[in-house]
Amino acid sequence: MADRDFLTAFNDCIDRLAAGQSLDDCLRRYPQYARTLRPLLEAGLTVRRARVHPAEVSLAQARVRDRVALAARTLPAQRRAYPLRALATLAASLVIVFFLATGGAAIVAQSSLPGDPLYGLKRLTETVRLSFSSNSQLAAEFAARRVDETRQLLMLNRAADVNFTGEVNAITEAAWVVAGLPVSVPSGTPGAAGIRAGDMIEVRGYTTTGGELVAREIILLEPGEREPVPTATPVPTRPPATATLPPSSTPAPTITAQPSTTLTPTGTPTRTPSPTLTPTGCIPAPPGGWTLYTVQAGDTLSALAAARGVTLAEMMRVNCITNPSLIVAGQRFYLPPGPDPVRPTTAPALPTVSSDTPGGDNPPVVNPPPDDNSNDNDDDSDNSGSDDHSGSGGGNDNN
Amino acid sequence: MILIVLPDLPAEDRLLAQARQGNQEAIMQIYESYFPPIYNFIRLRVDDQQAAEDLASEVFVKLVSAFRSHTAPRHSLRGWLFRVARNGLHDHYGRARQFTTEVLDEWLPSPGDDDPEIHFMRSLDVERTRHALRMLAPEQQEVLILRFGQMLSLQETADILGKNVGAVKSLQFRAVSTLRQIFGELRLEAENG
Repeated sequence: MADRDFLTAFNDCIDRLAAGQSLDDCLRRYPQYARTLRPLLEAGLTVRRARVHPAEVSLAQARVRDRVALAARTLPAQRRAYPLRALATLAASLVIVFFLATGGAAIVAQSSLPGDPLYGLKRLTETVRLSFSSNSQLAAEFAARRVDETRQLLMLNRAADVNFTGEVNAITEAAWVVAGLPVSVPSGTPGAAGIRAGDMIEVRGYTTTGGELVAREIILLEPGEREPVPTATPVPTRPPATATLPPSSTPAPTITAQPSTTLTPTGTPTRTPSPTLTPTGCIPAPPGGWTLYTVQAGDTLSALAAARGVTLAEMMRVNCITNPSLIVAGQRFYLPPGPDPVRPTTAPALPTVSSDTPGGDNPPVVNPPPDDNSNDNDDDSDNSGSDDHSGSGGGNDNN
Repeated sequence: MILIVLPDLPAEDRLLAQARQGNQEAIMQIYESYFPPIYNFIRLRVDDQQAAEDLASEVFVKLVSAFRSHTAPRHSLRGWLFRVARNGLHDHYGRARQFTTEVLDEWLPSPGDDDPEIHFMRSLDVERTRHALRMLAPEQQEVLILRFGQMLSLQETADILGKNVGAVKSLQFRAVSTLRQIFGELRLEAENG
């Protein structure tokens, strides 16, 4: 029956949208329903825009955190169940099989950032890979990933919890520099006392929507080799010689916990986070006069570059952009001053409407004016729903 | 090949197992991952920011209590959290049934496009969308937030709403149709002054 088929198609499209496919992708699968489905799905997609502002969420999250932590502290600590570990390994191997079957999702997960739905999967993949090898280079690679993710979060001005390890490059009054990232360490941060440049530390903290990275806790993993500097004096601009990393050669024995093990640079050098800029460790370097610009819906990099009179290549270089087709509204870039680019009138916040879809010539599928006012929608929703469906769907079913 | 979204359920269950052992770090990790979606879900239905925050807080305090009393879920933590959030919302509505509604005087249509209806829907800002959403019946709001906003599966949504999947299929269709109708009314209103 058409009605049931329609509901199934409708539901399938919702699933596909949830999986990241575009609206058009799905409509193409159901040409007979496309005209009816489109406005409905567009209406549903507006809900995504109703999301609460991330800043509000982070604030609420920060305020509630203590309450939950306090409640959690009252829990009796129980014995560690060791058999669990075996179970986890079993689960992990199952996951691997799953990955092989669904390589796509795993790849998608690899580019996810803290706070993303698939981020847990990404971390789990890594845990699994580590549990199958005791490769310290792999560990270092994953550690470098944490730093990269944090850097990306900062560039995207996204708030999330982060956790990374790295060498303390510098400690100044304003901020620390850890693994090349500026970290605000509020006074009184647990574990912060006594840390010096050159130490290998773990930073647990969070990024803010203002592009700030704040530490919540510092954990000393391995003290760096120290000059006999007894007091916390302002750190020299140059880290101790032992900590200075030549650009490409020996990765400092940073992430591994055994300083005695000399890591010979075998194979592809796994780059540990270091103050030197590596390709992955790109930090935006705006020339003088460039200011931060917030990407609006409808912007493209090339349009921005054209409007501001710079080349796309230069913009990408300055802002460490690797994929110019992947920019999102709200992202911020350094740009020279100038006019805003011309944007299409339709903000393509949603998948674009394919132009071959008849839309202009058919009568608007808007329902007739309501017979009574809109405040009792709860009651007539059933009627309006089915009317709507048969009304607009009927015209198309014979295609 | 059909693309399926791979849920990070193994990771979630592992975390749950640790949390059930009283591991505070695991509990806080759960908190950090799930607070945003839960808060979003609640806040979209409650206009009062403070009330939303309290309701969200309650969800996680309840989770900790559940760990204490060994009644915490072993699987589908996400569904559990949304269900608790939803119950909290229903209690809240018992106390304060009515949403505040704002005046619709500045609902302006954007200049013409191929399909004015779709163009209108795309031009809606956060506040207006949220407003329209709140004009729906609670269940319809929920199904839209869960399916379109939180991108949960049909089955997960059905579990949270306590319905079978068939009922959710119909519900989501009615919800979207109604929402579309509301947009249509708003558009007419805007066009006619």
